[in-house]
Amino acid sequence: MNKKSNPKKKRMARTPERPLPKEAAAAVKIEKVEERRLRADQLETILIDCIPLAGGSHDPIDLSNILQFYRLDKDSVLVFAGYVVGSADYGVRRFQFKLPPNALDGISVSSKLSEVANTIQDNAVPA
Amino acid sequence: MYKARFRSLVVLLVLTLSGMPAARSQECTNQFNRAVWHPDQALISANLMHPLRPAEQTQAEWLLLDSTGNVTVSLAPVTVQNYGDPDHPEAPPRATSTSVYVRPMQPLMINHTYYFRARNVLTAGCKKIQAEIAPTVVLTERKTPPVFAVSPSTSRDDSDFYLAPTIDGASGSKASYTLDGKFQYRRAWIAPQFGTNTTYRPGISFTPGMSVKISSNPKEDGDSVNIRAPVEVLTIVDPISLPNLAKILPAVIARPGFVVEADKKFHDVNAIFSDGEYFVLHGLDYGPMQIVTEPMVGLETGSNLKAQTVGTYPSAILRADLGFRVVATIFQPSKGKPLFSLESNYIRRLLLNPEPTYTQDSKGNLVLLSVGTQPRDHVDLKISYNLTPLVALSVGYEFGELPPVYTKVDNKYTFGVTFKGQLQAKPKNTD
Repeated sequence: MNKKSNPKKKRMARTPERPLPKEAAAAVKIEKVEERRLRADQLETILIDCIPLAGGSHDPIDLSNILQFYRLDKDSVLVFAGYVVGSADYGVRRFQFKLPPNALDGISVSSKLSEVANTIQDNAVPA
Repeated sequence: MYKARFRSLVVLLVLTLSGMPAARSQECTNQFNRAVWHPDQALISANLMHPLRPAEQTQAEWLLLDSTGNVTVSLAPVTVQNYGDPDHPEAPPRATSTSVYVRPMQPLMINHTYYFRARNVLTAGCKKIQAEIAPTVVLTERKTPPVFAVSPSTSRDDSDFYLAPTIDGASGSKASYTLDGKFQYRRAWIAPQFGTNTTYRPGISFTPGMSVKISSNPKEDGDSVNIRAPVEVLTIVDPISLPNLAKILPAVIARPGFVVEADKKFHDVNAIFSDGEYFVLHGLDYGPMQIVTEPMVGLETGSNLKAQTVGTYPSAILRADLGFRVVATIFQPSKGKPLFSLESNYIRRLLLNPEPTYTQDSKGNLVLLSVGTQPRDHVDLKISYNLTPLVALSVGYEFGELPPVYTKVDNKYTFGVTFKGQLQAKPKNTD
């Protein structure tokens, strides 16, 4: 059957969609943005879990501290990045997100946790 | 009996028509699900775990605190929006989809951390007002990172660029001038992958670089020029399958690669394949001091491309390496920033085939001392005081012999200013 002659399709095409209220449309847009980003509490959970596992300390997470404050050395920073990007149990993948392999290439022992959290949130996309 | 049945039916009907069953007690304790800063609309949206009825929030107070500056931010009147059903925004949604929109009266600061909290909020279907909802973190917009940015590093080893012009003194020699430099670029190729229901895969990065030490003193000619193209293989010990081992040894990093090692005049040149296995251990705390140790084992094999003296390499180059690195950092307790750092590297090369050892005459010419397999050690120690994040004053000590000519660096002391940092490459998203 020719698609153009399908009466059902024609009927559907003629019925205009009801326009959403302006505020509701904005809310839907915001919801979509929210859903595509890791939440702040998820980021905090990732940092709390991955820092000690990479060889760092269990000190309370303070976003103004640098990674070196948590006893992370230049090589343990690489391990930390490996946990965040690649661990199915402790990294972004546990929240059904993924990061590009080089997402955390720029972090160093002197990076603040807020910078690390921002980098993760900016680059993580739903898996 | 009929009356009781009729009453229960009426209650059921009312609840069904209202679209919301009476909230369970645990649902009356609401909390923030997520909070996101929307710079394009200059507002924060905070999603709640349980729905609210906008009309019931007359007593609600919404508070935003800039934790970086410790300042309360004034807010425009707050909107509570249910976007579960756009046609009936006043009706509590079927899904948990209530968001609060907060418009700060002043622009939020880039790279600041804000806390958003609420008081006197009534969750839909509840009778009791919740006095306080626990704060949630809001991270503000970031500056778009440049393609390359620079961040501070702590030592030569972890720097991507490193420049240390120094004035040197050694036993029995005048002061001389040395340039110690390094440039390295690191890019991750394959991300590690491990964990539950996941096929294990190590991470692989590419880290080409160049290291130079040039001295005006003919007696101080150690590791002169070293060009390398290593690959870095990150093997993380999975804490789920090997929990006891992971507590001691979180990971092993292998750095195999091809290295060209030469003296500063390129009179003796070796082409080497080297592989070092670095054992990443947990750090230790002693008050404001932190100590990180990293033992290593390695293997170097290759051949001589150009010899200073004929017959000094009777067979292929083959070395087994043992070493460690120790970094001690003293922090400023009030600021949580490193003040002093002490870094020491030690390596012992066990030569399995004979290699030459040279010394230098007063004109800087290499003079052959011996050919043999005696172990060659090298140790260095550097204490740095950070003037700024990228500039440090440093005092160093060096002793030992480095390939290819193994000229002895005899109790060398250095004092200088060090410029060091790490390069930050802007990552690209995969989708």
